[in-house]
Amino acid sequence: MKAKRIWILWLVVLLAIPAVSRAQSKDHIQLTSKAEVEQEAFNAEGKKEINRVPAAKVVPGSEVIFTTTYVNTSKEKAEKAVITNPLPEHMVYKENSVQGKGTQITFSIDNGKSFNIPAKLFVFDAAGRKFPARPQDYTHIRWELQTPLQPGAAGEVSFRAILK
Amino acid sequence: MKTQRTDRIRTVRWLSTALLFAAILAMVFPAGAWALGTASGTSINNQATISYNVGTIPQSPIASDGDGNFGNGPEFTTFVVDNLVDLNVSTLGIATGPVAVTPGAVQQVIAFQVDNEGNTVQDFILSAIGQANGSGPYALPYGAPDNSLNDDFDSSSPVRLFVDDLGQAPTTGYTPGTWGGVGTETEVGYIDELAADNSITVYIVIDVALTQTDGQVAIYGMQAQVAQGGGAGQGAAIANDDSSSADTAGVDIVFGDAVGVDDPDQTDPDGYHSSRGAYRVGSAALTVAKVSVVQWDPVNLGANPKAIPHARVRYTITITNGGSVDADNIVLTDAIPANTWFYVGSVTGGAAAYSNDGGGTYTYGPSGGAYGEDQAVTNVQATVGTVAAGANVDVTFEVIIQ
Repeated sequence: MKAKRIWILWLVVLLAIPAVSRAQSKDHIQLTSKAEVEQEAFNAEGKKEINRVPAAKVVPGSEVIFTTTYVNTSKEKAEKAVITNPLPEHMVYKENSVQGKGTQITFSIDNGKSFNIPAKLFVFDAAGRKFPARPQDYTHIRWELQTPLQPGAAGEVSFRAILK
Repeated sequence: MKTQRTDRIRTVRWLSTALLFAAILAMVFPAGAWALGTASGTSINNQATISYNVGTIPQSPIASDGDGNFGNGPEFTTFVVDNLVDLNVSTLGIATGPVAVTPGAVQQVIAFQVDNEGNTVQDFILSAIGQANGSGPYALPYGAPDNSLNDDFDSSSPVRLFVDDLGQAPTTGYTPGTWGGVGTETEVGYIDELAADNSITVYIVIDVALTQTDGQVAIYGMQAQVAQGGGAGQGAAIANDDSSSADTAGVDIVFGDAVGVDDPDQTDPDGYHSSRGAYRVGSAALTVAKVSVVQWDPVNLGANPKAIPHARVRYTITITNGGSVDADNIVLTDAIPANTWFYVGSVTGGAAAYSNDGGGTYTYGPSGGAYGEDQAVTNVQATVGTVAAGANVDVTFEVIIQ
């Protein structure tokens, strides 16, 4: 009896200790996110080319490319992986700019409560009339990987958004 | 037992991560309207989260890393919104064409509106851009044919710049040539602290010399240059932006303005914008012509009369106003020619007055003599009043040849 009580006490103490480790290296997946803009430049032959550089000189109207890279750094395969990205404040999703090989892509217009394909997203005006949701209504983007992510495998998903 | 404890620890970790995620969401989506033109200095933060299973067991969701260092935990991918410089200057009241002025008029006003279309509060330095007399033509924002005019004259005193105190643009129905702003106007050469998405009325003020003639045009452009905002007094002009240098962690400046007609750089954004206006002199232009026709002589009477002694001759003075403005308060005076006498009662075309002292005073009252003449009259005066623009008026009087 005493031993059981002590065990419960330990459990309570353990529960009271806040989560300690947040070191990514202990997790199965390394997730990185970057923000870039496109820059025009002239290459060595004098031809115009477009490069991606870290987001810089971003002013209202600028287009930013957000790319999230995922790598399975563990020895086990990761299944049913789902990446969710809230649209950053002040940025509007650029229609048809989302990319993600091997994923099913859905959007949320209700702050992440539900997700669906654009064709099935609707908003209502004050009079209760139904309209297809527009890019500025999107609050989140979600990519659901269609196959398990094997150990060592990697991929990336991205979208573009415009600064208000 | 061990499995149970491991489960509980895992649950606690998941809960705390979920709470963190919820807190992140709350920071990213505060309540309230989103304004146009995100202010410079705003941090834009992005973070993705991945949830997954190992086997059938859900793992702790992982938030994306933004600084390339996995050892210090996940953080937002972030960048700072830079300072977009975009301004617009437009001329007010262009529907009615150039501002009409009269020779000798002072404090004649052209009003312009300056808009801060960037995302940061700025000062703007103002300049009036004049043109060389006799040069042109210059493009103007008025309807044809006033959209292209030569420049004929300059202000007769240094051009002055004024800014509306309350910092607002006139709302509707601006009357050209007037102060149309909302507040009072201060004579100052710069706009102080114009917030993003705000407008202000500014003015060019000139004096017009009395020697300017009908139809002459003076062209002036209002040019504004962006300057540092956020402080008292006039901020330093911003001559260059940071487009050609690498992005810094702080707020960089990006010129995004359109090319204005009197901007220094006529190709690329340069932190300037400008718009032109014009003054046009409207004046009366009087010409006077005088003819004489013999009306009667004692021998031929009214049939082909000749200019013999005691014949009566009519002088017709035609005053023509070839200008674009009515001429008011016209008073015509004329001397009775030598060797003639004034024929009493013959003045037409205006209220008559007579002088018998060579034109010094016009208080004399004539009376008829043997030939209907008053030999004492030396000058006649007719108060014509107004001769309208483009019109003419005849004044006549008759004399008897001595």
